[in-house]
Amino acid sequence: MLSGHADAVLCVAFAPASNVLASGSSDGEIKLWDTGNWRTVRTLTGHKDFVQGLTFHPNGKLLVSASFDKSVRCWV
Amino acid sequence: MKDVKGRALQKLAAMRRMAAMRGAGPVDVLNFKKEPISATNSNLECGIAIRPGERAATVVAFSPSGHLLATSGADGVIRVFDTVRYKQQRALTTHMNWVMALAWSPDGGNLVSTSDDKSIVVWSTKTWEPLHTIQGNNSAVRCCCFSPDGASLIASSPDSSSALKVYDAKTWAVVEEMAGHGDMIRCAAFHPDGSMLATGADDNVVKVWHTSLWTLVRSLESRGHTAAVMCCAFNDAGTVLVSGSADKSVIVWDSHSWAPMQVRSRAANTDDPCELSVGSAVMDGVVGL
Repeated sequence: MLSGHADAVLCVAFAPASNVLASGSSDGEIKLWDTGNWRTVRTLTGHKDFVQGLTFHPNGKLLVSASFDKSVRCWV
Repeated sequence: MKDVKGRALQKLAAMRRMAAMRGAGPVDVLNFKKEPISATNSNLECGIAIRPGERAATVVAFSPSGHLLATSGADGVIRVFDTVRYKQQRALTTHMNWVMALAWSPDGGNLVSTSDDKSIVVWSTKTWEPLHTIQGNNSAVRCCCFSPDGASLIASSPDSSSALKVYDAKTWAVVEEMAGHGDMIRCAAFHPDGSMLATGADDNVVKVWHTSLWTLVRSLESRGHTAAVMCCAFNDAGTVLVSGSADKSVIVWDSHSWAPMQVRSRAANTDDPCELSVGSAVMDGVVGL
């Protein structure tokens, strides 16, 4: 079990051809996990409301998040 | 009775016209700039903030080629952006309520949207017109996904949110219907080889299905989630399934034994070997846009 999010986990996405899992939460945070050891490698803050959707670009170099704060953010 | 139905259809048509007008607004890119998240993470930037609408954004999905990004949300408008300048290329309007799921067919020829308006709409990515609409009567449709070979579309039923439907992705006819879960289905994901489908629901359970006969492989309840399962995904290799829940946890399931994988703690001072310590995680700075 991966614990670390302070609120509900609403979305998950694996980076293509990579060892990264992204998860988004009701507290607005996105966490990136190393799928080798399942440790948190980064916490992406910026959204001010639920992170409901996540998608990786097929090249694995860009993560996009959708939030109830009315914004879509691109993380590179 | 017929008049009632006729009036309801007229009302629906009028509402759809209003939705079409609502979506005809200006391009919505507010920010196009790249700036580092923090000095210590210069390789990770928050590049672009797009404000797709005046309401909550719920779903984002890159096309298989990566050339397009589709977004949607509480306004029910599906916006398609190019991935060079992130300018809005299309606003697809027909849904009358929240859109919670989008799925591109593997060949990129179709985009499917599902909505709380109890409908599933198949869009042509050539004409950007609806090719097919499946209108149900009872239930919001919160999830959909294509099989990896593109032959089938899975969605929760627009007539019963706890049931699963399998659609033929050519004729859009229902091929199979499963009772599914004990409560609203929130998520569905195919194993990369197409042999299995995982689903999660408000009944706290993750279920794994054989896709050959659509029978249940396993119901993942033991040492599982204690609240609604909101999301799930297989990794590229298909060796693990992860599920995220309202119980704040992500569970990593071994896709052979279907047991939760034991994740060793990074912190030395915790007794629970399954838990990662958030206190030892790298915390990044706040993005200012």
